[in-house]
Amino acid sequence: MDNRRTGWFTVLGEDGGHMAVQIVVADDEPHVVRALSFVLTKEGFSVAVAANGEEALARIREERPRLVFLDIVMPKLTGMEICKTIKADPELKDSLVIILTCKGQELDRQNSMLAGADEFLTKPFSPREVVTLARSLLTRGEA
Amino acid sequence: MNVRWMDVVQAASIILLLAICLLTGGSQSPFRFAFYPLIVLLALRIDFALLLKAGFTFSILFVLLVILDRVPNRHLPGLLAETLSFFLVTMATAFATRTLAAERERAENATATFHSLSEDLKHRTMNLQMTLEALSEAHKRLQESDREKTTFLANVSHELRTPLSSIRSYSEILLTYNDIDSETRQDFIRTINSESERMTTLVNQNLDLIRIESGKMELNICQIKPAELIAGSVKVVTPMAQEKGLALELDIPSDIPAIRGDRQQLTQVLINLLNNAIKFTAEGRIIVGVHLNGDLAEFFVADTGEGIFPEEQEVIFDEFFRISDGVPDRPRGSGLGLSIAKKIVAFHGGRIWVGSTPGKGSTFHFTVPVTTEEAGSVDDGFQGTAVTQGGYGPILVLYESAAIRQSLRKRLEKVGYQTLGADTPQRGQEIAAAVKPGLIVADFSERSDKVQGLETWAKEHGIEVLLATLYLSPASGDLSLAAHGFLEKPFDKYQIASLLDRFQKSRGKFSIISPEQEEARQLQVLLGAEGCSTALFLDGEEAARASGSAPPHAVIIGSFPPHRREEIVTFLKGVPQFGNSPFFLVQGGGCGRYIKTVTATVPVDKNGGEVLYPLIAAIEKAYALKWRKDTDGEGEAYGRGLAGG
Repeated sequence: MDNRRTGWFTVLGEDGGHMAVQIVVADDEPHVVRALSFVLTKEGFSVAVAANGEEALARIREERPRLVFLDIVMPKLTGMEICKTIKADPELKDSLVIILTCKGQELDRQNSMLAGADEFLTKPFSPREVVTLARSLLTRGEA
Repeated sequence: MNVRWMDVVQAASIILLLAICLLTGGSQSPFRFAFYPLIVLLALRIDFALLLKAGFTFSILFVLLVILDRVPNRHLPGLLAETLSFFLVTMATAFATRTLAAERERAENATATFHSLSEDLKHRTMNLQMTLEALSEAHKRLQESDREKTTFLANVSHELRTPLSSIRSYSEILLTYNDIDSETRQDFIRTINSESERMTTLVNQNLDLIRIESGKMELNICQIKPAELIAGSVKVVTPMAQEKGLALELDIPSDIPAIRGDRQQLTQVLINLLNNAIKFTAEGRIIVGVHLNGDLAEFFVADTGEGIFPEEQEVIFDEFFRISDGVPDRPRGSGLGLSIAKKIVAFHGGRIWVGSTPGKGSTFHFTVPVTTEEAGSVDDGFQGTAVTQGGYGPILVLYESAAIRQSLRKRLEKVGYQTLGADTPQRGQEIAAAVKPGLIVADFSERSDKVQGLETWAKEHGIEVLLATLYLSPASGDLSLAAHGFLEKPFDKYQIASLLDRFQKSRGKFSIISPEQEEARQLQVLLGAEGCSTALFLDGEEAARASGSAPPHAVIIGSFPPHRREEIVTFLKGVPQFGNSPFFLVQGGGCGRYIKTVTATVPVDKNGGEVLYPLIAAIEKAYALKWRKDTDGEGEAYGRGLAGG
């Protein structure tokens, strides 16, 4: 948790080596970040994390991840704004975006889709479902 | 029948007059000018059919006279024609005048009916207008509260999802993977535990809020020493402060009197404030203390934290407002702590507020009334002593409004009574069943049906019940607003008599301002019977306009909703000619005969205690009555005297 405060991010390869970051997880709720990154790492993905909007965008620009998890309500930049930025940037637009939110309203889902998000997840979510979703999105992307 | 007899007499008079006319020379008669109007006048007064009969009789009489040839020295046919034409002219004039008069009367009646109808319509329209305004006002309030509830629910579910998602994620992770090292496993379990605690707090706080909002929170009021209260709360938060390396200091003067409140709830308020202070203070110290401010104990929690911006100070007590929103690395809370604290303090008749300099720190203050234990101390000349309470139980003060209840209890305690408080009739009955009070003083301005249940119960158990209407004086503290007396529905002549008595003026002039025609008419009739003159109005403006420079001796204000009533009184107080006229307010009914009704106004602000005299006087009387009843059985007579007066 302390890592979050210093804007820490890391590459968590299965072998501990320096493989390319595949997924960025951005949420201001440390428990969510930790749970997601734990599961995704366990499933063999390399993960970078961010605790606010600005940090998330910086990570995405640096790492060019294949998949991004974005919380809607985050300090500094909201998930929606980041999503729009990603999809409008020719260099970043290949990254897939999954919006995470506590708000379960239909309006949020529509807004996410309008912002160009590829998927929409409502908290509380099941880590297993998240992994399945990430896998299917990434294979679709490869195909 | 008398009228008919009169008609006959009049008809006979006409015949007599005509006969005299005829005998003295017909149209040449020297009396004709005097007789003509006299006959017309008489004809006007009697039934027309009878008039024709009279004319007919006269003609026959005349014909008879002619046949008998008793008409002296006259050329008969000419005389006949003259007299007949004289009679016909007379009749025609009478008929025309009568018809015209009837026509005019009809027109006048129609105009009067029209006026009264249009007046009625005006009243009805205004009534409808007022009803409409009241309804749309109520509608707006309902919508507002509905929207608030929806927002509240949305906020609650949002707040619950966050800890719930952690719990779900971590538990599923623990179930899915068997190869997690024991340290991580422990960490995850700890998170699940702490997040479920966070949820529990949230749910509890929500329940607290709902209970407070729905008025179901029952305060367990007792005397508390402020030092104990502070010590209890400090004990709870000390570990948290030590962890952050913050010093906790106490500032409690030794002479601070005991306060009156619910220990658990007030501890909760202090803990909420201390928690916030610790959360938002990185270094420095936190001072918690209390000092006396008039009749109130003012508690405070001061920190050397980051402070609160003025715009945040306004909304900080709102539900779900969190300073940490939008700022990373700030501690998280439910956003309910201060809102709960505010409600608890309000329930105790106190106030909570914050002062802060951003960057320097914040100080939260809240007030709670202190108990006044100086029995027998009389600061206002009222000769009440504990002796009058005799061997009887304490006085149970039953008022929904905490402010009124506290104010009244304090006043009663000041003059030497022991008191108990209750906010609902049910609660009052529970307490009364347990303690057996000597007297119950209850509010009848609201929920009179429920109060009535308590009265019946109390009567069965031999407990006297005094009903009092206590009015909160408006925020401005203007005592002149207080009413001079009350009239209860249904009205009766005794009430009017006692009102006139108090007012020491018979045949006075009253202005009745009422939205209800029926009510106004009843008062009008009753006052009229006592020889008073009355004028009815729908609102203050109308009354002011109509009264011109001659003010009424008193104004009776009818069953308006309280805020309208206040508006009217305020308005009339501003009109010079009304400024000094006493005001009487109409109350809804619902009190049985055995109830002694007392009226008084209770301004809750500090300096207006004297208006409580009538109530305290009545309490004294009620106790005296009880005492006499118990000693020599002559209480009944005294009781009637009290009820009547």
